[in-house]
Amino acid sequence: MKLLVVATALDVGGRFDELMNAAFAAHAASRGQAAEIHLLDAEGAVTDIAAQAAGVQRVYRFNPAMVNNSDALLDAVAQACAQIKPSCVMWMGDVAGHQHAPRLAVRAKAAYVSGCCGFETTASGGLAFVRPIYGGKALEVLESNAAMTVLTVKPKSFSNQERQPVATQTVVEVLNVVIQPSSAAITRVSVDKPEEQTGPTLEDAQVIVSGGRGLGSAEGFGALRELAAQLNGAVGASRAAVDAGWISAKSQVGQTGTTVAPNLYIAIGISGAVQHLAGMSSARHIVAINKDDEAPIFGVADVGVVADYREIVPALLAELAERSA
Amino acid sequence: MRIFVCVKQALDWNASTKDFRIDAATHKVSVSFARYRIDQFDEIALEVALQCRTKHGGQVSALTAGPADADDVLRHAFAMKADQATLIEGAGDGIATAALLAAAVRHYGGGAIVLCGRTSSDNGSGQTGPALAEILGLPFVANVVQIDGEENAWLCRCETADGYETLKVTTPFVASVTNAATNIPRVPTMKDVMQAHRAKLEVLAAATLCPDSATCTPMTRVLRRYVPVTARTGQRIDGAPAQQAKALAEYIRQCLPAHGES
Repeated sequence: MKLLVVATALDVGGRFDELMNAAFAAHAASRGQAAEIHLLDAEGAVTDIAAQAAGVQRVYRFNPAMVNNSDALLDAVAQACAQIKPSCVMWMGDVAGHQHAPRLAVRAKAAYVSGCCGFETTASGGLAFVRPIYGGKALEVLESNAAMTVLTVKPKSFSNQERQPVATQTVVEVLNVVIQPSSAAITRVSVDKPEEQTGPTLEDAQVIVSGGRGLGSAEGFGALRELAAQLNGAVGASRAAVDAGWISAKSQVGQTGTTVAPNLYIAIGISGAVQHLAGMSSARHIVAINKDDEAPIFGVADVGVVADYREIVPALLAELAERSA
Repeated sequence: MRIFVCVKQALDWNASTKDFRIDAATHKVSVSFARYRIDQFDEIALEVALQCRTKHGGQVSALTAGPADADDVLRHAFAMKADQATLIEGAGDGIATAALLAAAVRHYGGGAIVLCGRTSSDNGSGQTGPALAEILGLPFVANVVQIDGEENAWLCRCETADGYETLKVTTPFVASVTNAATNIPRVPTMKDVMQAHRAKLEVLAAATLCPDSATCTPMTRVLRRYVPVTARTGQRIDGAPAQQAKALAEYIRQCLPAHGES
C-alpha cells in the first residue's frame, strides 16, 4: 500500500509541511499498511534535501516538467498514478487542488474524499477519512471501497501537528509523461489584482480582526483596520459584510471565503452564521464582540463581550496603545 | 443556446441550528423545524445564468438529483424565471450524482454551458463541477462570478486566490459559480412564486439515465457522522465599556507571544 503526495509549486513552505503531516497521519492510522510514502514533485519545486528531510521513500519528477497547475498537470498526474498505482493520492485542498483532484478521481475510477482533516483506523484495520460537513458543524468518517482514493487535505488541519521524523534514503525517479497539446478552449484575457495591501495576508496572519453586518457600514471597517494594524494582523469579514459591498470579497472568512486558523481571531459585529464559523472555528483563541447577547458567535468564543463596537473598539485601541507605549 | 444549472436541495443555512443533531443510526441530520431550500451557491449559479440570458438570450434549465420532494428547489428556479426544470429521482452521492447530472445533460442533447455552485453547504465537497466536466469531457472553469458573451466565445470573470481574472472560453464548458456583489440572487415576486407551483416539471428516473452503473455507484461509505464537542470556555466580560476594554486588552496581550509586540 502506497501513499502518494502531490506537491505543486504553491505547496513549497508551510503547506508542504501540512501535506507531509497529513501523509504521516494517514500512515499512522493505517497501522503500517501504508508502508510507503511517495512524493510527486509535480512542478519540480521541492528540493531533494526537503524531500529527504520529510522522510519520503521516493520522489518523482516529470519529464517534461509541468508548470502553472494547468490541465497538463492533471494529465501528467493521472499518468503518474497509472504507473505508481498508489492506494491513496493526497492533494492540497486549495483552489487548484479542488479542481484537479475530483477530475483525477473520475479519470482513475477512484473514490474521492474532499477536505480531509483527519484519519482513523477502521474496525478491520483499514484507513478511514475524517472530513467536516455542514460547514464544519459536524464531522463524517468515511471508508473507501475503491482500489484508489483521491483526497484533498483541508488547509490548516495538519499545520500544528508533530510528525515523527523517519530515517530513510530517498530515491529520485523521473517519470516520462505524454502531454497532449492544449485544446486552447480556455485563454486568459485579463487579471485584476486587488489594491496593494499592507500587513500580513489573511492566511498567514497570526491575528485576524473580522467584521460583519453588525458594523452597519463600510466606514465601520476603519476602526477594525486600526485594531488590526496595532496587533500586526489582517482584516477579515463575514459574507454579509462582503455582500453589502463594505469590503472586498478577498477579505471574506468562512466556508465561502478563506479558511483561517490564526492564533487570535477577533469577531466584531459577526453573528456567527454556520458558514462563517466553518472558516474560523479552528483559531486558537476567539474573541467575540457583539451587541446581540444571543448571537451564535458567543457559542464558539473563548471570550465574549456584549457591547457596541463603536464604544469598545476605540477604548480597546486606547488600552492597547497605552500598554505597548 | 441552453444553459443547464445544477441545483441541490439542502438544509437552510440561514435557519437557527441551535438544535442541530445527527441521528447516529441513519447518519442524517435531525433538526426540529428543519427547513430545506435551494443551496446557496446553486442559487447564485442560477442568478448568473439568468443574467446571462437577459443579455444574450437562450434557455435556462434547472436540474436537480434527489428525492421526489426536492421538487421545491425546481419550483424556486421557476419562480426566479428559469425556463425549464428536471428532477432526476433517486440519486446517489458525490461523483455518482455528477454522473447522473451528466447523463441528464446528454439526455437533452448537451448544453452550451453547464453551471453549478462552487460547493454545497451540507456535504461541502465541491466535486460536482470538476467531476461533471471530466465525465462530459469538457473544459472546467472554477469560481465564476459573471458570464458575458463575445463573438464566438464567452468571457468568464473568475475569482482567484488573489483577485479576479477574465477567461475567454468557447462552448461547451462547465463552470462552478461563487458569490460576488454582482450576483446576489433575485427575490422572486409573489406572483412568480404562485405560478411556479403550477409549472410542469420533467422527471427522469436515475435507473434509466445511468448507462454505466459503475460510475453511478458511490465509492465511499459513511461509517459515522457526529457533532464534535467544542472545548471553548465561553467566558463573558461584563461591566462598563472602559472596564470591558481593559479586561479584553489584558486577554489579547496574553494570547499574543511576548515578542509579538511591534
